[in-house]
Amino acid sequence: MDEPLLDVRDLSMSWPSAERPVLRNVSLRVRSGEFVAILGANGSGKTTFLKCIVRLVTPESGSILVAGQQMAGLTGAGLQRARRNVALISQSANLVKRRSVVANVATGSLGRRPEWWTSAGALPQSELELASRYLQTVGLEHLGTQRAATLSGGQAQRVAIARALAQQPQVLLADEPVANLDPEAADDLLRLLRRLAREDGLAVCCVLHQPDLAIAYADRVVGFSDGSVAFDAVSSAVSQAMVDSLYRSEPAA
Amino acid sequence: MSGVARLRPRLLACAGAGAFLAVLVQAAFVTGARPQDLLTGVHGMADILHRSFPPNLSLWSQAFRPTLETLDTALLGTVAGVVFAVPFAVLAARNTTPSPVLYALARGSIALFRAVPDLVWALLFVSAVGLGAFPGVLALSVHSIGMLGRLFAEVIEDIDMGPVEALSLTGAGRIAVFTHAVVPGVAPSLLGIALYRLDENIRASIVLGFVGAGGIGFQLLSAMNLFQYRDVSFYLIVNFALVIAVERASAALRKRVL
Repeated sequence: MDEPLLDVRDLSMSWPSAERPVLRNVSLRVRSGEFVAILGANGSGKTTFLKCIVRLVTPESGSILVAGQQMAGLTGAGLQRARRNVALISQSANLVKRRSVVANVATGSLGRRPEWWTSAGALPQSELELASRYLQTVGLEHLGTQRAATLSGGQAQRVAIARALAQQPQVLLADEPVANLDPEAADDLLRLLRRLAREDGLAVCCVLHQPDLAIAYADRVVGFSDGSVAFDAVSSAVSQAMVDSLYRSEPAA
Repeated sequence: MSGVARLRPRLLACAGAGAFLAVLVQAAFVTGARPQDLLTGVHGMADILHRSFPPNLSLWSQAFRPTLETLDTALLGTVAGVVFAVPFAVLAARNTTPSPVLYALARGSIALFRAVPDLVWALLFVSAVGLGAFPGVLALSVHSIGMLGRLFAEVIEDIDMGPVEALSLTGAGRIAVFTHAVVPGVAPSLLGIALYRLDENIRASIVLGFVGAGGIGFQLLSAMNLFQYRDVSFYLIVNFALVIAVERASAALRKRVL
């Protein structure tokens, strides 16, 4: 069987002021081509889990392997290099609103192109051409020259995905990417994430708040409850009772 | 609510108004403000106006170079101020500074450059490098670093950190993140502020001429010292035209970039 592209083991994490740990021995493996959805109530640790993987926060213990590269414990230039293999899409698209759509996408390549002229603010023509291709992948090639400020929420999220693709990662993480989208745009976006997993072989791990969407689009659904994994099952095996159990057990105050 | 409690806000307001009035009275006393002097000085003012008319338009060829000097002093001073204010601002903004020590040093330097008036900087630089427009350029640059550094730092601190975080997570280096996520967001605001500064520096560079830093201000002072009021009125018209022209140009440019 394939080695997982994302292999997290026994991850634990506490906020300094909190009484209870936000993550407790969480383990999760995602293979190439797999689309995994994470469900859970607010405060169950889903977002912190993704932030630990990209090392926006530092876990207390545990191992985080991304494409075979250990992320836990890395700092400085080592962490900067390792981050190129994993892309994170947030609830907000976080585009540079005054730049064109294609330039926003091309900035995804900055980690791969650390030359002095890219640091000075230039974007290589080859990366701009590649960015146009990624825009085509997300169905927005016609908007390349438009300013990012003019995009709708759904379009901005697609551009954020194209920027993540320009990074050429092996693991794609998404934190509630459909939270601000209407149902049709949400369906389109999740269909796109599933296609990227299946056709491009990415390992996709997506936090969602809509159980029906998670079951409809993901290969596996992982339930988080109070900082630990309550269940990890193929989508077809996820029952209403399993989903309900996640939202009944709010973390103790 | 009791009567005393109802009266309390009014009493406080009256006390505040009384205190403010007392401050104004002491200010008038300290500055020796005597409104009656305006009335007794009317004749003097009328005499000056009479002697200023008509403006000595024959000076236009002599005014060209000092006017250009004033304009260039402001332009060079502003550009140098902007160039040096940007790194100071990056170090003085909480969200972009690499270390608390550099933050404190940058904030301290900016405060010092700003606290010393440009006229004092000009006196210092005239002593250091001699008379002429160059000390004016240096004075405006240093003072502009102080003024712009603070405003630029505030603009940088107000940026949306989402794109910064997003680009950091692509594995991009700090400088690339700054040029691609911070600069495009703040550049129009910084340019707008810099154009305002150019406006102010035009007016300042006229005044700097009074302390020997060249330009139209120096001509104006010389004419006043020689009681050549027709020359004074001509130079005032040139000043007015210069200030208005730069104001209009910078307003038009700001409209384009913002």
